[in-house]
Amino acid sequence: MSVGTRLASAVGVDGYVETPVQRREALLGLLLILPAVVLIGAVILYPIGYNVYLSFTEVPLNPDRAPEWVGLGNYAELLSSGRFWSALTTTFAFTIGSTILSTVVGLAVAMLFDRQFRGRRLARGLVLLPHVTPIIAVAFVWQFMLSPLWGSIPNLLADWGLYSTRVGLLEQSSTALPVVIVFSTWRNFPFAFLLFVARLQAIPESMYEAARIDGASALAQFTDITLPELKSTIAIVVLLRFIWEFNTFAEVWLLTRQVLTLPIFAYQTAFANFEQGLGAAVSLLLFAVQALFVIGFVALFGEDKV
Amino acid sequence: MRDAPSTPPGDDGSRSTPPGDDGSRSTPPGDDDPAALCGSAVVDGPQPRPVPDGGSSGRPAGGDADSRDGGAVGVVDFAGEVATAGGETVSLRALTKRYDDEVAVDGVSLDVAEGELVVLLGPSGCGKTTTLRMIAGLESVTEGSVAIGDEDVSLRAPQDRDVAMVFQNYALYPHKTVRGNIEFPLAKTDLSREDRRSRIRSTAELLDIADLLDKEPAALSGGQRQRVAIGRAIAREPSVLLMDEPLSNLDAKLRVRTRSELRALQQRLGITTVYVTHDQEEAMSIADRIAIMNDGRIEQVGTPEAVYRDPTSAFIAGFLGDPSMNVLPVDGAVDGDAAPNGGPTPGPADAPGDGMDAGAGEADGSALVAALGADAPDRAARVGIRPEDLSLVDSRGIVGDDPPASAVGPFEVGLTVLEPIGRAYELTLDAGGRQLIARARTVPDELRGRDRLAVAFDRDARYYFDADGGRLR
Amino acid sequence: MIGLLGAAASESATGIRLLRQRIRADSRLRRLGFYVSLGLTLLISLLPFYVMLATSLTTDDAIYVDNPTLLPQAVTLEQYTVLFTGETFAFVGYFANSAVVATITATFSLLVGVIGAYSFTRLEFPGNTLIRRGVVVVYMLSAITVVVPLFQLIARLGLVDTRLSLLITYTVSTLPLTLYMLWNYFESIPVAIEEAALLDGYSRVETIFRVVVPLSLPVLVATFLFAFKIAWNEYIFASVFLKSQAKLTLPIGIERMNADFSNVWGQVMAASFLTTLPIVVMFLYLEKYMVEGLTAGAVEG
Repeated sequence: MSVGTRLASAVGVDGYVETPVQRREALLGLLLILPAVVLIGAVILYPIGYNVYLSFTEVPLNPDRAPEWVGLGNYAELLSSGRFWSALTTTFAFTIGSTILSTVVGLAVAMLFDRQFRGRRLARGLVLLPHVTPIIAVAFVWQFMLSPLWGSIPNLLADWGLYSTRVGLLEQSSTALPVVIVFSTWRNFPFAFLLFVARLQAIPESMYEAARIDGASALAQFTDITLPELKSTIAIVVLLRFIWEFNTFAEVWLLTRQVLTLPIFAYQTAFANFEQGLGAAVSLLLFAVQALFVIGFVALFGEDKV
Repeated sequence: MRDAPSTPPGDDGSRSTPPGDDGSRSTPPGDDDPAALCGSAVVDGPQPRPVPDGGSSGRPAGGDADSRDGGAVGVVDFAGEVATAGGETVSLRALTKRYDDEVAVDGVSLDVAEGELVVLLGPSGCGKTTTLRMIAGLESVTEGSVAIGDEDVSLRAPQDRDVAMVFQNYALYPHKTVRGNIEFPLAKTDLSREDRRSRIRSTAELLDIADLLDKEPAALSGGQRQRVAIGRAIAREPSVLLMDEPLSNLDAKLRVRTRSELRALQQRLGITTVYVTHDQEEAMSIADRIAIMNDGRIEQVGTPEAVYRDPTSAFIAGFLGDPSMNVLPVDGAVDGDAAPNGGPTPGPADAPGDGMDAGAGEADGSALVAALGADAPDRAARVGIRPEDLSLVDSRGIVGDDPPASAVGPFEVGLTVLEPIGRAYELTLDAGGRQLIARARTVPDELRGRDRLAVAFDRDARYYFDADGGRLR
Repeated sequence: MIGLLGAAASESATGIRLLRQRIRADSRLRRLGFYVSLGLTLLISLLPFYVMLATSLTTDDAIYVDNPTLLPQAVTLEQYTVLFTGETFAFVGYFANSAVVATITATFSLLVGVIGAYSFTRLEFPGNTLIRRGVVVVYMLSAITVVVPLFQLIARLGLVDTRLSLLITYTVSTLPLTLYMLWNYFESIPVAIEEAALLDGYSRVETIFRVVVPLSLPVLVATFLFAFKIAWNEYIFASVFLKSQAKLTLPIGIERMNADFSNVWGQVMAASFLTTLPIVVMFLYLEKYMVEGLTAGAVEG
């Protein structure tokens, strides 16, 4: 038997193919997908596995020494850490707030765009800008705008009498979280917007015409026609945004140090405090939450809906 | 490229070489100078063959030619036509294709002779395209074999079979010009660049697309694209040409015109061709032989006349012919809304002059039905009669120049619809609650505007079928 | 990102359809309401960009004032010129790093993606569906999940502070998207064209590069640009893997800028603007290609 044949049998191709030509093609198929699989396996799957291991260890600062096993020590530490729990709640608050807001705003803007007008294509492109720009750029502009000293916004707020002095919204933990949520909404609503616009366009105009002839108000049209048609899109948007916001790092980190979400907690633990084992444990927990939602998503929608 | 001057066997058109079921075979002329082909440098296909003529002197073309009998010869003329050395035979043996639990092709066996055009005809889903693709190698063979020439190619990759295919939607390379499209397969042959260029040119001229060579497919009309697809297929002189409903994307008129051109081209080149279609008219007009497929099996193979005149099953009888054969249950008692079995027995045709008041039938036409079913052989469950074998009867007798000798009738029937379709008329008749279609070349004035007519039929033109649809003779 | 693409794509592709003509039927008041809403939306979306640009064109004196105004008082290009001289920070170096990394990433991702996507769509092999699902799942993961262990691995391999670490990481980050975009497109190419090539004597691999790839050029460009964007914008991996100034990419470089110096907002804005510009240009260009890319595959033969 040739190498190819032996290889094929090893991989289980035999039950799959009828002729040598098919076997060759199957082998080719595997060969062509190999680079992608190897890369993804090495850079994502293996590290995740390694992460599991790491989370049970304490990693010394010296890279030449191996990590020492501490069993569930890291997890115990986490679960008893007030900071951890506070980060957890903050993360949920942030995620829920950002998801709901960006979905609602995205929907609203999508409805706005659901009509013919001059310059529509340009406007649509412009609306997408917050989402495609490098995070560093937009984060710093916001920082600048909100800076109590030079920023226009605190200035405005003070002028309107909302605050007695110009306040650093990003510097007080009480106001920082809402601001970060607003920023995240601003950055991510275009994602929801695009998905909604596409779906809206697929709703036949005749449905609305019929409703109008029947005398339905705009609100009724929305609740009775639009919303049901959008149900699955809304579900997809919410689910995806939830998964992504739960794990977002740069959006918060680059704006303020006053908001402690789990990703930031993980980052700080690992790279500021150099407690990589502990950091691994946090990321693993994050991963677990994420995996739950991802599996739920794929189970509900299948892989074609992305 | 071939340089030998010689007259081609040329445009004599009718050139059916295949040893069909009926053995009809017209000797191709073109005895002229096959020797001219010897020494032709090009060949990547089969070598030129001697002129067939059931044992003719077969002047072997070239020293190394395999002299095969029955081959077609292509020759070049000064205009530089594409010449092929003809095609190979194709043999299918118990060819089967199974998908999980579904059997798409079930034990198909067929022999295609060199240069023959065999049409696989059948309704959608009958397995004809799958069979074609198995010949091409685009589908794997579950059981059975495909042989081209003498070689079993069932396990060979499509690249190695020397088969070309014209797809239903042409599948041209959109990013290449017409020239590029035709050149692409040639790049895989041993032709020199020069030869390639002239081959492209002659193919283009043959198909009348020479002025389109620098255009891209998107800029062409459907008919032009189709020619390019054909050109691409034949340019490299494959052993076998496969065509998968190549005309179905053309409009009706173009389709009719193109199919006769296709036929002429195929005969001129003498390439063995397997052609798939669901259009029975198309099949009838171009095939040397038709293989009718149903449900994964071949039901009958034969020349167009043979399958039309002598179908082996009710399915085939009903499939061929447009409008289709009228098929009725015998005795009228089988299906329910039957004419009563009583009623005056129809006798042999009265003197045609009797016309309308012969009173030989019930006013509701059930007599016609009964007459049709009379004298049926024992196991007959159904009887069929073609629309053209139902004749109108007016006051002067049977309408038409050539009334059948063994006519039976007249029987009175209801006339539901009278449709002129150009060169003939289709009449929808109501005979005892059954709908029959009749076809007549003319409809005399006295019969127009009536809602009752008299018809007669040729008693010898009936077909009988048993309960399973098999033909009884 | 996939959803974004898909949504934008389907929207453009069905652009032939008429959008609702409500504007015509509306009353004056509603039209006014519409334009006001639209204007507000655009304003909110774009205000930060305006601020970015305006600030980058303002002199330092005019920035650090008690009463910041929306309109730049004193326009200047000095914020930009400073960047290029490299006195304060090696902007040009950062830019070059980002460009190199992003280009190589996108190229490599495309290569691996093309053969992988072709394999998914046309070839049958055990595990095809499973791997595809796996790719979709991986796409939804976030960087934070792997950054800790990945850093460990990179450190062990001695690749900290190298561009290579980024190249590998970014390629993998972009792979799911690349694969997805390409396989979606390849599925829409009529199989018959490739079958014709096979019958014409070409092997599968030859068919990929001589038939499928030329046919997919618009999508290949779009995929390249999307991958480029991801690599160009990326922050967290770069911040963890890179240490020395010479290796920094733009996002980290700008962050360093801001952290190491105070009151360099003008330059930060200028740098931000220059970082954003390629993406915006790319994006506007992409828009056109997205529509073309989708219709090109619909050639009937």
